[in-house]
Amino acid sequence: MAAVRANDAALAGFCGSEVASALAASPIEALGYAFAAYSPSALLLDWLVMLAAMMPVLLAHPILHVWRSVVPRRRPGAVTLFALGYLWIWSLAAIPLATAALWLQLATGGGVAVVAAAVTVALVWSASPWQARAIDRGHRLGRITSLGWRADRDAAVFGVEHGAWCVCACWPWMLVPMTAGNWHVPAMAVAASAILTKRLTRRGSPRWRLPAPLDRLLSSPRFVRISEAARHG
Amino acid sequence: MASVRRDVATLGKGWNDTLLHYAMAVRHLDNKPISERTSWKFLAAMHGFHRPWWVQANVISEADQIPPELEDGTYGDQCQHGSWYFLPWHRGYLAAFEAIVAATVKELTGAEWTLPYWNYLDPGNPAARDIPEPFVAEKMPDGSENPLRRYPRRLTDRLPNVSPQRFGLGAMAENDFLVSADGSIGFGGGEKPFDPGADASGDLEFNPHNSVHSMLGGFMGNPYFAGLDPLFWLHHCNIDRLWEAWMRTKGKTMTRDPRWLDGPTDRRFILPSVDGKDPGIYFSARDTLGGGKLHPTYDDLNKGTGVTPGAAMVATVGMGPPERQRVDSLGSNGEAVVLTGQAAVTTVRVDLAATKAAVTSMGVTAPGKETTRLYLKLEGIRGEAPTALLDVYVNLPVGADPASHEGLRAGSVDLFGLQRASRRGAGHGANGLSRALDITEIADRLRAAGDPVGADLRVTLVPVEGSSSDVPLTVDKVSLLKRTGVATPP
Repeated sequence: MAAVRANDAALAGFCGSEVASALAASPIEALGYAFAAYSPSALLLDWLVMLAAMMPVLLAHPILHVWRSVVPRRRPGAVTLFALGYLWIWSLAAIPLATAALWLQLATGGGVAVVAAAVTVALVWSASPWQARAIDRGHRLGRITSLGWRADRDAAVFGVEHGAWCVCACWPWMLVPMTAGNWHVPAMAVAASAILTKRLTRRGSPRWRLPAPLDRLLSSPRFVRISEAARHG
Repeated sequence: MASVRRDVATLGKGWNDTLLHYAMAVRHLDNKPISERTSWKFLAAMHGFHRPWWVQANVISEADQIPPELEDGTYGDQCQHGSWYFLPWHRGYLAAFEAIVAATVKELTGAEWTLPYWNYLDPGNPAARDIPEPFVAEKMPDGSENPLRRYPRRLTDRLPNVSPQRFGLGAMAENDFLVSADGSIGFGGGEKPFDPGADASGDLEFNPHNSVHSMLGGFMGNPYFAGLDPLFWLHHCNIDRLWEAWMRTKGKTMTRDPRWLDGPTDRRFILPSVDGKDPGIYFSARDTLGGGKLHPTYDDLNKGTGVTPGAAMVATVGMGPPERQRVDSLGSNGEAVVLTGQAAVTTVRVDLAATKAAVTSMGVTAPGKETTRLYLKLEGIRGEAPTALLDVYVNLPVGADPASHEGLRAGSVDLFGLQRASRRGAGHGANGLSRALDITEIADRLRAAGDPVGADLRVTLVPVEGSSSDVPLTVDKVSLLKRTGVATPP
């Protein structure tokens, strides 16, 4: 986490620098400069740390599926391969997402407006039928053979497939901490909460709905009781 | 709830008052527009609703005004299948329905009314499987059209005499509501969030619940339409009674998980009140248990239930507290099986050492000793038909006629709700249906006969209904499970 904070602080410093200002008129050049200045391996490490902090709760169900699907002696290996497949697809997704986050910061100089824009995009996405479709596909439990090399293959493939639908469902929320500069860690907590809330919110056919956090609040038993009491005295 | 639900067979032959008043209420409620929450169609749509299919089936017209609460994730399409909420949700649903019909009967005739149950597995009644006469009669006693047979049904006389593996009370022998959290094994279904088409049905849901739906066919064979058939409610009343009888039998363990008692956590169940006005009736599973506002009373919990409340069952050895039991995979087949109307054979490769160890402790009954049971699990069963039927055999000789090897039949799987559970974009991942069949007795017989139990299993899947070359049925995986516990005295 310290590495993430250091890199973000550095990035924030760069985005506010005179160099960045001079380059802001040409964000493409600025991107090239930024990627040259910051080690891809460090960025990848930061990204994986961020995933490790945000995703474990979401992965409980698919990991249990893998665990139960194979014979006991293959469980640790199958779960490891599932995780590797999942992280691999997210690592690929990091390239366009990190690029977009950098570009946004460079193009605008960073700040509250960028974060607000990222949150807005994430909320609109959360309300959309497209995200609902991605989540629905993500609930699909892949077939995992119980024994032999097929067990390993199936676990890895399931990790990739599950990760791909997870990327489709969550990508805008990942932009929030990546554009938050020094507020990276709190923004990460907010994004993780929003993603988890969506996972715990009512399912149904894909259509426009209230964004998950709001929907969750309005449909919570406590809120329903309060609104009932208010309406009926 | 003061009223007592009775066996429809004990209420008098033909058009007894209860069924006559029921028919009058059905007609009255079915004349109301679907926009009213106490209308027949609204009540049925709470179980399952998909507007294009209802229009296609002429249940509603394009011009009908559909109330938003049937399509916005509140009242409509709420039924819980393949889940540990199957029994409590349907209990609440029956209670709301019964209250609305009783109020209608009171309004129309001044009489009291209670929902009867159809005790189709009562061994003491030779006519138990007959569809009660008023549900098949052409006309009402006054010569008017009979609303109890308005909606289509495949069967018009009685439920057939088929193997108890398809239609029987074997589910009542299971001692635990929930053993494996994923729903592989247990009486009541697996842990799920709110989900009308989940894949973790308990034993009771498969048989006799699914069996009766599938055998009756027509609207009863499709969860999107089933609630429209007036017979649906008498069937579910009996399923509810079976749950009550099971809970009151010694040796049975209900779940006390707070997520079940107070769930679902992702939304609340809602029922219409008798006047149909807001706020409706919110409830959780806790409300359906003894002392709860939706708990029913039955006149009898012995006849046709396969258990004797208060007494212990000895059919299946106790395996200790469910949370201490383990369920492990011993092996599986190598790839999905696609059925196009013909039988298919698939080989389940097993971990030989683990399977031999499991077979050794199989059937142990000495208290305190480890005991195991073996299950054949079919998972990810998907198809386009509303329902389907699959017979499953273990180690059937090559080329043998399945019908002449009843002893090798692991079970019959009635796949009511198949299409719903396979439908993409419904929020549940289209995981299809899953079913674990207890093959302990078969394995024991095979062992006694010298079959090399502990080696790979040859599983034959025979599609009886619901699959063809045009409408294939897919079984994603067939696996062998071992359930381990500690033998406990009954």
